[in-house]
Amino acid sequence: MGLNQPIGIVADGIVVSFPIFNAAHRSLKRTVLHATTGGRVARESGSRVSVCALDRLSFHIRPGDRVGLIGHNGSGKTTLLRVLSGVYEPVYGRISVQGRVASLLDLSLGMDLEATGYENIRLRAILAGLTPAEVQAKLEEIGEFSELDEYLEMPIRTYSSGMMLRLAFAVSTSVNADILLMDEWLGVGDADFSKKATRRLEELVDRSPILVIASHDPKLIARTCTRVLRLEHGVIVEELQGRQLQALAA
Amino acid sequence: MWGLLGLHDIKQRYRRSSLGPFWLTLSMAIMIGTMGMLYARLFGQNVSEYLPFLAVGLLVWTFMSTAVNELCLSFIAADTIVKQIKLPLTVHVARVVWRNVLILAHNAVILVPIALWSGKATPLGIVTALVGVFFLAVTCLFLGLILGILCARFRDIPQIIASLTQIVFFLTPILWKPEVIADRIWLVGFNPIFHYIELVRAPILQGHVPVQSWIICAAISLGLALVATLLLARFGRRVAYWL
Repeated sequence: MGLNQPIGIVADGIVVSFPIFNAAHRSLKRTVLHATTGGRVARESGSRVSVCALDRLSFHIRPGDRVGLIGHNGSGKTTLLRVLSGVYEPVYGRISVQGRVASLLDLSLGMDLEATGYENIRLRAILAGLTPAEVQAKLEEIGEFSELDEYLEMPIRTYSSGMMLRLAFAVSTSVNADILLMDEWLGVGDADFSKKATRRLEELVDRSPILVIASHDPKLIARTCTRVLRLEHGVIVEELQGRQLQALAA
Repeated sequence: MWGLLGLHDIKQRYRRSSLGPFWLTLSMAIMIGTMGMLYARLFGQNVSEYLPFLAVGLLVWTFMSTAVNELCLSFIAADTIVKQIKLPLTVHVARVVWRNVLILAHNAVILVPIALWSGKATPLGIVTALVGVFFLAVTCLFLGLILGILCARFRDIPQIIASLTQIVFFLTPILWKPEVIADRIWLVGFNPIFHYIELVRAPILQGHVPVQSWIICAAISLGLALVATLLLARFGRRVAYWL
């Protein structure tokens, strides 16, 4: 990743297709049998089905862009977010992502139920690639925000689901990134905490040059986004901008 | 990063026991003690010769077999992370290898009284043995990349590996000394696992460097490194799709 290159995302005809494995494809024995017998034995492992999740997408996202992804379930929104986070490498096409990426796709990522709150914060920070000094600074800030205080010394399996969510939220939103990826707007907890959480998330979004969010909520999209891509069956069917977005909320 | 993650794994595993990882060491010590007595008698061998042989062999074997079996699952067990954050796949493998090296380090405590008792360990021998352990760990790293990628794709490989390790355990001179089958000694010579164990066992027990074993192991590890590099370049990016 070049440090002097400007932040941004350029996708050029990216294709993502998933192989769908059943038990037979998962088996080495069957695959070997299939290969050595010319397909007569273990025939079911022959025709492998694959699903095309994203079909030749091209787009360009610049700093300042707030991109909303809309579309039905299975239209490819989450897959696209995963491609942007670098987890899925496109089968064809090229994608270049410049900048630090933070994905808030799964809040409870890498949390360990047996470990204490503090240890979980550390664990997540390690995964995010922070240095021990940075981690130390994070510990206090996250502890304070989550209002979990002495509970942070206990294994998180003793937490209520609300407390768990608070911790996960506090940890996930303590990042600094150039590109923020979100699957639905995050909300947590009781009324008081929810307000605090919304403020924190808005601050995070405000200080991130690029936001890409997938959502089913048209009002939210109209409120936060500057551009909207509508996906259907892995294809961008339309792009909405400016005033068209207001029509979405109506 | 892998260092911290591996350390975390160890802490987690023994969270609720006061002895911590030394539980493993204790059970290992008891096993080596009883098996040493029993088999020395069965094979009609001198306990003071047989026990150190068994102890070193069994420790190295336990490290290798546990590591190999866990390495099969290194990506499968970390699937939520693999599908969420872009990390080099090597991190997940190194985490598992490091975790097992730490356990081996705990178990190595058993060797201290045994080495003092047998009195054949030399400083040079111990240094060579440590180099051997390091070499084993690096080899596991390559093997782990290969197994991890294959196992993510073919889910029956872990079971195959598990049964194979059982068989290899009995075929390899760990419980029995190579001299026992002097008339079929080629069986031992062709067993790569024997040579890998010798890298650590020979310097501790006899205080000499097993040159022949080093050459054989270096060749095998180089081959593994090559295969691992090719597999990683070809299929590394597909692993997230397979999980």
